[in-house]
Amino acid sequence: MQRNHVIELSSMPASTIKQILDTADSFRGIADRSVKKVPTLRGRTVVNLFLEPSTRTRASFELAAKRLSADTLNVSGGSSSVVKGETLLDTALNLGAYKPDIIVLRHNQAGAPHLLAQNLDASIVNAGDGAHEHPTQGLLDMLTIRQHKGQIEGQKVAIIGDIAHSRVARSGICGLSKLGADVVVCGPPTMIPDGVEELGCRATSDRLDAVSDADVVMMLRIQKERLSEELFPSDREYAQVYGLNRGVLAEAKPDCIVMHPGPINRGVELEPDVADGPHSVILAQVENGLAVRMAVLFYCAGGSPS
Amino acid sequence: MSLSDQTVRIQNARIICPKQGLDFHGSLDLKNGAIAWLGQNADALDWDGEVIDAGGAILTSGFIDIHVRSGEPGYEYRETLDETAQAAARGGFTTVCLMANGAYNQDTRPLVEYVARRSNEIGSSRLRPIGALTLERKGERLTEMFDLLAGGAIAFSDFESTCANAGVMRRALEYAKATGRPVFEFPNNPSLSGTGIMHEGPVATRLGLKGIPSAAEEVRVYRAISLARLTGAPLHIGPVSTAASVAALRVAKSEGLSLTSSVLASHLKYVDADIMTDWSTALKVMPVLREESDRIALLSGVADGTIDAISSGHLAQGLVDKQVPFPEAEFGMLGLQTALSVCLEIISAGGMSLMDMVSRLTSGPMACLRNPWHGLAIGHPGDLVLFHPDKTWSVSKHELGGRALNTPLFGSEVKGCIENTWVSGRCVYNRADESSL
Repeated sequence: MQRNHVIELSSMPASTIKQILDTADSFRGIADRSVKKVPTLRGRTVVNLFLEPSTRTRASFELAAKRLSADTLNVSGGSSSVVKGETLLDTALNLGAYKPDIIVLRHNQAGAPHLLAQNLDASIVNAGDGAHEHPTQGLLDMLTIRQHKGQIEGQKVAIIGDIAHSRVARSGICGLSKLGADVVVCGPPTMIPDGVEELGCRATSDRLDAVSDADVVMMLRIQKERLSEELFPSDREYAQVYGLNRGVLAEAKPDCIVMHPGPINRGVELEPDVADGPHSVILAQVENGLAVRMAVLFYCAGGSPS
Repeated sequence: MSLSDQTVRIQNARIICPKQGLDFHGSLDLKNGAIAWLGQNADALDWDGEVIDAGGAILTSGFIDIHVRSGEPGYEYRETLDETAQAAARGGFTTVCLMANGAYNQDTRPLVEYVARRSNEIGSSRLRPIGALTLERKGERLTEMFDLLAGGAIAFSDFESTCANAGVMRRALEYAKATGRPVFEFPNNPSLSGTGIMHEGPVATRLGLKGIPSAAEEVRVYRAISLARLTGAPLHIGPVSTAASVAALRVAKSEGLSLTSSVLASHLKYVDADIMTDWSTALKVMPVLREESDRIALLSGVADGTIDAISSGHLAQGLVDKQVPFPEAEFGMLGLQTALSVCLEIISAGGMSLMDMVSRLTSGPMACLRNPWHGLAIGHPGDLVLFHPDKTWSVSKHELGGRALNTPLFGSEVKGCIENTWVSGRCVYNRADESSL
């Protein structure tokens, strides 16, 4: 079997990104059928190795594999030998002995999927590694923008929040800029990492600068559980200075869409009336996540669009 | 250590000694552990002992490394003291200074004496312990420095966990002055470096890895310079890794302060962007690898003498410490066996002169230790290394000699073969014996 990894959008050619998005478009209709299953990956084995808590990404990958008729094996943090002190590589080599075709890895350390790709025969899909990348989230965001805006090229996309600690932001910036979007990142200077412009974006700490005339506003979750040091004084001040409410959104284009990778801190980065309002495409993102993950698994198994 | 009365003539060598201003083709005689004679081949006296034809290889003083760590005691699975001494001998180092390895702090006399005693038992390259500056290296209470000195300590340092409290550091520097031994400041401000694992900059941002800003080093360099001015104590600042550190040291040294500094060989070759290629955990080192502009500044510091010593920064790690995701990997890179090859590569690329390299590996580190030293001079200890700069070797498990493999050069072919290393006139490494094994 041909090996195709999906580890990071930063090194993925634009043509491959487009190919995966096109495949995802063709898979999207399957969810609306009465029989929601195709035989594409029959006989193939997909291991979902989730060593960090995850609900939506794990569910999405599992369902994606099942809809493609692959055999799935789910291993998660709490039930794995990792809690007994086994190293990631040993765990993966043991699972590798079952000769899986694809291993989907979620891990709290950046670079973990590279380690597996260097030592195993299976195709590796990165389902989020530390603060590095979350390529399938980036792809589903791009699919959602393309679906609502017709194209990615030329769209002004504002990404607001903790850019420094966000793998979603990294994948988003890299993928969107490759397809010609005009990406602006925004957050308090403590959350804007040094040299972020080199990923293909502009950086600002002025919320209105980021949002004005935007086609897309992507809000990031404030991940308090990940922060080891204080990067802003309080939720209250964060909401006042960097949160998205109706007043701020009025500065964007009238047909602007609002995105969020979830789970939302309502009232912190996003006011409830915006999260549930007419501009929000948050549930469309979740739906597209399934199609994108089917497309990614198809690509990893060596498939190309027919 | 009983020294055998090896008498050997090394002839047909290119003899280099920056200290004595020597660079000529000739012979050198070793007798009773010391240099008995050196000069042109034609002037050599009658000789009935062993003769080695160097075939034009370079003969110079044995290298000295002031920043080495061994796994023993505490982490013997990484490297034992025997392996550290052998790695040194393989790499042409005749004296290496051992920092505490974290398992033990070298803050009391028995711990320091242990290293000194084991070094004598091993009888290879000399291992010289660096005593801690404060108890448990906590930066609170001073160690019994005279007692550590009596136990064999060659310098004092708390390494990365350098005194947070500047007042304690001041008193430590003042107190150490009376011992006649230097204090080593490993410049790192833990509140700025935090849990960082690589240089803070665009590469760390791209990889999503937590960065250590250059300022974490520089604020400590500035503080150390101020304290050297205040106390007049002999101080060593290093290893340094940033351009601003080099600039500050250059100014401070021109003021005439009693300061020396050092750099790791790895920092003259690698930069942070090299980590991006394949997330190699072998490149996870402390201080962290910085940017190309920093690397260039370090080379200029080596060239103009701002940086006195090049160190290997040798730190062995086990597979279990390195075959993990980058953030979880331990810091450290093997260095003793490959330092010469790394330096020669930099010379080939035009980054350094051969004379400067030899000086930064011999007289420079001796100056950091404030030891009187004469280099290749008749009657002085026969600490020598003979190497072929153009001959290549492949960095393999066999050639590295120990159990640790954590070098980014593993599996590659490099220039610079150590043929022999002598400590006090005794051969502790002979490549010819090795290859016949």
